[in-house]
Amino acid sequence: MTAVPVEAWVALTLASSVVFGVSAPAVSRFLPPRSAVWLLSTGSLLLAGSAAVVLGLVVLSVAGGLAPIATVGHWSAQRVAANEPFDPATAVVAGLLLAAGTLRAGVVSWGTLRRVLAAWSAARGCPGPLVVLPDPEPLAFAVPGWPGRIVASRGVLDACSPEERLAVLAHEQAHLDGRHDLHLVAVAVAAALDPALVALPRASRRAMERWADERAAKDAGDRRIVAAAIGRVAGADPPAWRLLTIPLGATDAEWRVRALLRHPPPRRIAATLVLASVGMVAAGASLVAGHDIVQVFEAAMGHPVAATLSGR
Amino acid sequence: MTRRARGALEAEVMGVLWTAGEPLTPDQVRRRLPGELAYTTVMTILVRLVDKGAVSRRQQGRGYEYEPRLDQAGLAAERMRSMLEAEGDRAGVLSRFVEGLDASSAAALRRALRGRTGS
Repeated sequence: MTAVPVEAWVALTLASSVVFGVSAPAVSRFLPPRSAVWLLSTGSLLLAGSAAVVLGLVVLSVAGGLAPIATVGHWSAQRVAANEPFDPATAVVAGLLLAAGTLRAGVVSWGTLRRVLAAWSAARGCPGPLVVLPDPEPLAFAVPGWPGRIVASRGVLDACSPEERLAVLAHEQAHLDGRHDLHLVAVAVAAALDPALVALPRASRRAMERWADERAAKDAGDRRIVAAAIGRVAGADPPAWRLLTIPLGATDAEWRVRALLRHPPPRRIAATLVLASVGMVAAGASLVAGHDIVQVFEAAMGHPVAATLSGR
Repeated sequence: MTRRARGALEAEVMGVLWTAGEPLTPDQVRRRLPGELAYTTVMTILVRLVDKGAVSRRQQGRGYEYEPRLDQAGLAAERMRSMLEAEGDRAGVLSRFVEGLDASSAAALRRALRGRTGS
């Protein structure tokens, strides 16, 4: 068994979630948008997964000290209880957190999956890459699928110059090519499982818009054209069904325009590595915690070698 | 000058056909697209769009003229609209180009743009 107690590894895993959940949205604003999106979705899955694993370990280690469960598992309840680093109250809290998170993740997964499937099915029934709505309001969005479709209103096609139209279509195509729907699902499910990551879905959405803006700027050959297109589409009255959407708000549109009027974002390798390492720390700590708890159980199963090695 | 994704180019050709308001020859499409595209590139995309059922063509002189298939487009628009109305997109699966801004923020944004891009 390692010199560091298992409680410390559990605490480190949960603390990493909080550190990532608080710092990632701010740090991701300064990263190149593509790296930011990938870091936010892989990081949030890693951290939410690690947090769920350590909470499960806490519950398991206390439950293993109860006689009925020990009988089923063929280990000694006394020996597990003697080596037990967590008290029952901690286990109850961990169990409640885990149950609430799992339930929420289930509900969010189901809701998101239903919407994604509806979008996929709608996209499949449309011929060609562009669906034009006869609405006069300037609207444009990407409907994910295999392949996805771009939906644009007559309003946006008529209001934009040919260069701006190119920018809008390239922006939406970037959402489809980058499979941003899958990133959205990943972050939404992770945030539902782990309440510390509550701010990540919005940060991820913001980074995705920036990713698509940068791609559109490359296609258009001029960053200012994309900025002008955002200004052109902004401020239209949303149709009634749009009232149900999550608005990103004025600050995000202004932030995107300001970013486009500057130079392309630098690579920021140091910040990327720091953020990625928080995820690695959590995953590593949860593995060590898991290893320690497994050793407690092995010792309680009466394997003489394991019992000697554990030294407790 | 421009470097486009293939899917974006198909969407762009459709955008040109939609805004034209009349059937276009491949050369007319090419001239309405930003950047310098080869005639054969435009031709290939138009043929692909005809195969997909998104665009129709008719004989005009020695060549063809192309326009969006309104029957298909109407069905597609209805499909999307009913999906949007049923789902509402509360989970944010769809990414709108610009989310709803209030009128004053939008005006401020446009003023900022005029100041910076006009030069």
